[in-house]
Amino acid sequence: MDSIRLNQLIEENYQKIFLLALKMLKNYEDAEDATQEIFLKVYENISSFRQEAKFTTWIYRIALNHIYYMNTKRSRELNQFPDAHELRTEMNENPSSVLQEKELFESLEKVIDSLSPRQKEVFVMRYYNQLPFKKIAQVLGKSLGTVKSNYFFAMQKIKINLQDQNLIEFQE
Amino acid sequence: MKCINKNIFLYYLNDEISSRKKKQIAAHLLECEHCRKHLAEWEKVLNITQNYIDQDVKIHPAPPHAHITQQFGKVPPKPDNLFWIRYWTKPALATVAVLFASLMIFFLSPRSVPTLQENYYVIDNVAYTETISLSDVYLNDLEIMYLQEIYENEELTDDILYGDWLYYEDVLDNLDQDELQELINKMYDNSVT
Repeated sequence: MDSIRLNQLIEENYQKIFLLALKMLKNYEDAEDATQEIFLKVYENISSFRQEAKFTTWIYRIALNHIYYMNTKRSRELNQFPDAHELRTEMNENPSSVLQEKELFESLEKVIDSLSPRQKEVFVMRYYNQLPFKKIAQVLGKSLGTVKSNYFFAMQKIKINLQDQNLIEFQE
Repeated sequence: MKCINKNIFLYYLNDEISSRKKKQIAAHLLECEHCRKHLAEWEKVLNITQNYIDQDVKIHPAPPHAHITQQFGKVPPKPDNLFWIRYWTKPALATVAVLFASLMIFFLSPRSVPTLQENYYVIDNVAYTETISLSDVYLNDLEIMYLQEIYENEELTDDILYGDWLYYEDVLDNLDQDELQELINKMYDNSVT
């Protein structure tokens, strides 16, 4: 793979991998570092990669491995996770946002953070990275059924949370 | 009219079901208000989630990374021959380690009968009964040894060995520890020489 094509692929995937890292690590600086390290790994190992068609699968696998490695390392170092909501409250200072919408989004953020790692990785790859279920299954090395059920349980958790908090009205 | 499993609506909205099933659901929805409500619920959840994601993605653009791609030009990529080293080093090392450990165990393990001290404890602990298979042979040797002591190196005929056997077993059982130790020491010396 030539360096122009590689740079193009990095450009296409940089934000997606960053979002994956951000959602899984819940910390902006860590996510930024992780993304850099992931792409450095990609670059270093590009010679061992041969099938361009599966580049996305390969890059996401490297990313998830690195993210889980960082998470383990960090939890060992700090023995605690940073406040998951710190980031959004810092950055979401849009004065035009309606209070109700803000409340709704904060609640969504909390419930997404509370998903199990397996549900969360599927959810993030589905929504933030816009990968089809088939691709997610390839990345995770799991069956399509497992991935779909992880997605279903994640969405059900979100739905129940929204219903419980009466943040959206469902018709009776 | 039988309603559809409402969990399927999530996959229906994600376009993750077969076209045949999709047609069935569409036909059912035309007739069933109850299911239409469920579908609307999921539609609402998906819309809200998508809105949230869109906003979240918007406020988190990719961090600046031009310097990284520039840096890539300078870092030489790992040569391809490292592939085999990377994937085969660990299994190969593990195999060598296992083989080495097996050989070491084989060469370092004792070939002779268990050491005197060990045997002594075993004998002492079981009070010279014949139930411990490990010490059976040793115990028999001990008895022969004792007979030799008694018969002062006379040739031990079968008569002596088997005729007095039960009697000397009893004698041996009644030896105190010092006497037994002495006998064991002698026997050990003989076996060494």
